[in-house]
Amino acid sequence: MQVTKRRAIFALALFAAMIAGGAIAPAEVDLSTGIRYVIPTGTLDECGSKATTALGKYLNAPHEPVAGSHEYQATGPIGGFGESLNAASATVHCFPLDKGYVVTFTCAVETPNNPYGADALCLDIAHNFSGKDEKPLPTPTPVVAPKGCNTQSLAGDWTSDDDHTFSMKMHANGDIDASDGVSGSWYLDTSTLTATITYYGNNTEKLTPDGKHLHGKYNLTRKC
Amino acid sequence: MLFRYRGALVLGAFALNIALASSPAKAALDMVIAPQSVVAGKSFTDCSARAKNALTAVMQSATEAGTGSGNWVGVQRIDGSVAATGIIECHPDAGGYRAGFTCATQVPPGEAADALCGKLTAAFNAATAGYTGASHAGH
Repeated sequence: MQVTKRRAIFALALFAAMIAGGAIAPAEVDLSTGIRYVIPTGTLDECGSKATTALGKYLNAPHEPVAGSHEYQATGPIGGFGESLNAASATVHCFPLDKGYVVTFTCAVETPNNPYGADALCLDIAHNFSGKDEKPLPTPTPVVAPKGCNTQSLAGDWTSDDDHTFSMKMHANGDIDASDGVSGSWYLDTSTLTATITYYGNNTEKLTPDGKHLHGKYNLTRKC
Repeated sequence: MLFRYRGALVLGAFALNIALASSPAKAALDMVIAPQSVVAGKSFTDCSARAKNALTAVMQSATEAGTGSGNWVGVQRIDGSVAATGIIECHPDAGGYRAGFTCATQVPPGEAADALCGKLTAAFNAATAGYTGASHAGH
């Protein structure tokens, strides 16, 4: 009887370990490149305008990293949360060509965290640029953010241990609103409980195992 | 005795599985566009050759995305997963060419995208006759 019980416990433990092992897959880069359009007549500014619009349809904050470069980048996906936050990125390059330009599209996504592949993203961005039909992309799966003190999210109201008049409201989407009116962002590596608080620069903080305290440049306690 | 031995094996497998499951650190996607290289008086073929050589030297991988396209891709794997990608695009321009550099990496285990692109740019520009410097302006 005792042996049977022990066997059952071992089987259960092994099953749980297999589930846990399978649940965490290493992320990798999925790249798409090669789509290019040759536009015989047109300006680089026109290319830039269309590139910004196309990137902004699928990703956040399209911009030209270096002014005048006619190279554009954006990161997403739109609506990304947790693992899918910043799991997609794309660039559009406008190169001069006689009286027109050549435009190329390069996309990279983090698999399996992004809800769609790099090819699908690049095709839609290119089609938006050229006015062709676009195929709707899946949106990130809504995640129910854990509440209270936990080690999966920093969402919640935090008060400074050093200055009780200072507090931070950390939102589930990674945004921070500090009591001094300054905005920032947070990221939590749940495997090491190491957080990056972007608030007047990037600050590395350690989350306590009970999910209640952050220690580092800013020592904070969460309201549970 | 037999059950004790079997139990130890199962416990060992359990511990190994947990260790393996927790080993992949959570990584972030990092993508950058590096400054272009503008080369005067050289052919598109020269650009392609340099792109292939640079990617091969830095990433040990170089494939042209479409024969004759001048769009070269390098892929670096770590433990079987794609950890870094680098792209060098060649475009003819005013009797010479422009080479564009884009890198996308998974950090960790891959290195930062700007570090990778820096290596690719340096390898591409090494001994490039007619090289007029990295440029983002003057399109």
